[in-house]
Amino acid sequence: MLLPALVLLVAFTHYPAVATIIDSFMSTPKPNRPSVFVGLDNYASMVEDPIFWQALRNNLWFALATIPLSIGLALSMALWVNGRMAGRGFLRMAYFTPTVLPMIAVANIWLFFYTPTYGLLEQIGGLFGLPSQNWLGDKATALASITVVAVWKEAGFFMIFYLAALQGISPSLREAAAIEGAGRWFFFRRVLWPLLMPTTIFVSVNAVINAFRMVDHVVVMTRGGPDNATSLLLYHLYEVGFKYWDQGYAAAITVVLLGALATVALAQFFVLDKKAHY
Amino acid sequence: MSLIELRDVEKLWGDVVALSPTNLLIPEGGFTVLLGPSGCGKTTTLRLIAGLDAPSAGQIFVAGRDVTHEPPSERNLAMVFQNYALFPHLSVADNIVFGLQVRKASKQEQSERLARALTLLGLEKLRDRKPSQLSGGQQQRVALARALVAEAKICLMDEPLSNLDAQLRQEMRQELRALQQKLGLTVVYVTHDQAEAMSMADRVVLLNRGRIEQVGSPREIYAQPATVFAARFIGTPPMSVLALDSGAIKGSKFGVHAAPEGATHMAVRPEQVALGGDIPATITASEYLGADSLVRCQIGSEHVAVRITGQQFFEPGHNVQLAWSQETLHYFDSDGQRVDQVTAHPLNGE
Repeated sequence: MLLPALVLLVAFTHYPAVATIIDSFMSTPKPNRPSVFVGLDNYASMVEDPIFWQALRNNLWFALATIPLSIGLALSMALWVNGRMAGRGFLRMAYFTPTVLPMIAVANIWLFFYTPTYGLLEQIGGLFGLPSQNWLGDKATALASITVVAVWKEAGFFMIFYLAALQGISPSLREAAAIEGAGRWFFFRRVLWPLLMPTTIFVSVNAVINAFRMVDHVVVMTRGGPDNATSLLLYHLYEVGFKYWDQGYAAAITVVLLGALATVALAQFFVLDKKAHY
Repeated sequence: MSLIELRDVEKLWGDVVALSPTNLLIPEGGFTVLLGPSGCGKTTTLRLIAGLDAPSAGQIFVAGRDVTHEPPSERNLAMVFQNYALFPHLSVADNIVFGLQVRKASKQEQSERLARALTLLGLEKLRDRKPSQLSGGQQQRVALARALVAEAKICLMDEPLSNLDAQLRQEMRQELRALQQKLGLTVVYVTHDQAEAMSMADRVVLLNRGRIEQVGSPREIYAQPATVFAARFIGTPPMSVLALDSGAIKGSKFGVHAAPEGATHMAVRPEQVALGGDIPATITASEYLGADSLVRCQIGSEHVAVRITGQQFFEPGHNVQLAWSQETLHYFDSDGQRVDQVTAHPLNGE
């Protein structure tokens, strides 16, 4: 009975994972030179690779910005559309739309926003007499620009989880708090936030994984440029693996990436779980 | 003195009338029960008093102050919810002092009041538990403690016992009543259970379809129902209401000679009908209840319930003779309002 599931898991999950770890200790096979065991050589070249460090740094900044921003935005939107008001259904749908769109389409839309001279931001800025700005072409603003796209894309998705959790909270809790004279902020801090903690853990684990996994919009918008200013770890990995065909080195980066992600996710579960009420 | 007053208060939900314009005085220090079937407007009334909903029209006064537009927290009242509304992530102690923390009471005051509330309701051993680790009855006590710790003069209760089993409900009824009297609270209590209303209330406010049918002590309401609805609602089983047709019970020849002018219905309690009289009836159903039996009889096209002792037994279809005394009958007009009997004053008579 287990066999079909086992075959699929082994073939597409376990074997590739193990193979990647093995590959990371081997040299890249060439037509005239088969793969040989090289120990930690691949990892050593990673440490010496300035682009790897740049990509890692970019990725940390990217994560540091997208995770709290998208979660914060998701929570505020959920609190906002959870209330009683006209056009609530329309608002909920509007907030969710970015999630439905493929990342490639999202990137293309934002590419138009950012485009110099005739892009949307440029035209709006022009109305107020602001100087022209090449958002994606400038090393100073490129990373921030792609961060904004990621937040825009993710917040709607996370909002759905918060909204579902909020709908599950009995309205009489709010009424009981109102009778006691609790203001919005007190009620949020003492009641809503703790009750939303399980959702926050789930969402934040997802946000961390996404921060290291999202790469589509980099490919469409900047290709890691200018001067690797927007190169994220996964994009660097893609370039190493499929542009330079350095399989061994790519495997080594993969192992590091997966290891880091697993550590962070587990840490989140164990640390935050203690504070959560289910 | 009345502590709470509703003046022409009305509540509409869109086109639906939840509460027709209503005037109500709730006296201080009393146990007032809002009683009625579901959808009668009793919970609406309570929520309007609490300030959880705003009235569509009219004014609400608490202790002589117009609070119609004040938020719930400015009305100086506490409330117990039907589902208790305990904060699931907070311990019993934290649930109870929630309101004190909102009002920024000093740590010392918090712990003193908490200790008093825990003792009052016998919750000392449960202070560190979470609501999910408590039984329904214990949760109920925590909800009560949270309401009482504020030491507000008014306590509103929305069907607080409806989620408890029958045994516990009985105990809590007595306990609630004792607590109310001990603390001199003004309680406004919503229920659809007339046994609760009868056993606890000083005053019952009987509601139906968003209207007050009758206000009075349980005895008054039981003895002198003001409307057909009150007659049909109060009592287990309630009064039998029989339609009258030109001075006789409808469909029969049995005349009701003393019926006052304008009476279209008469009503009588099952316990006040006896066997062995001069009113011919046919038994249609019989329900054995242990100590007594409830027998349904047909007179003409109308039905009347009769309570007899449990030992007696009648087959359906059996013909019996019933008797009732004239003073035990109640009369109602075509609007369903009570019509009092014209008592023949012996002094005025011949």
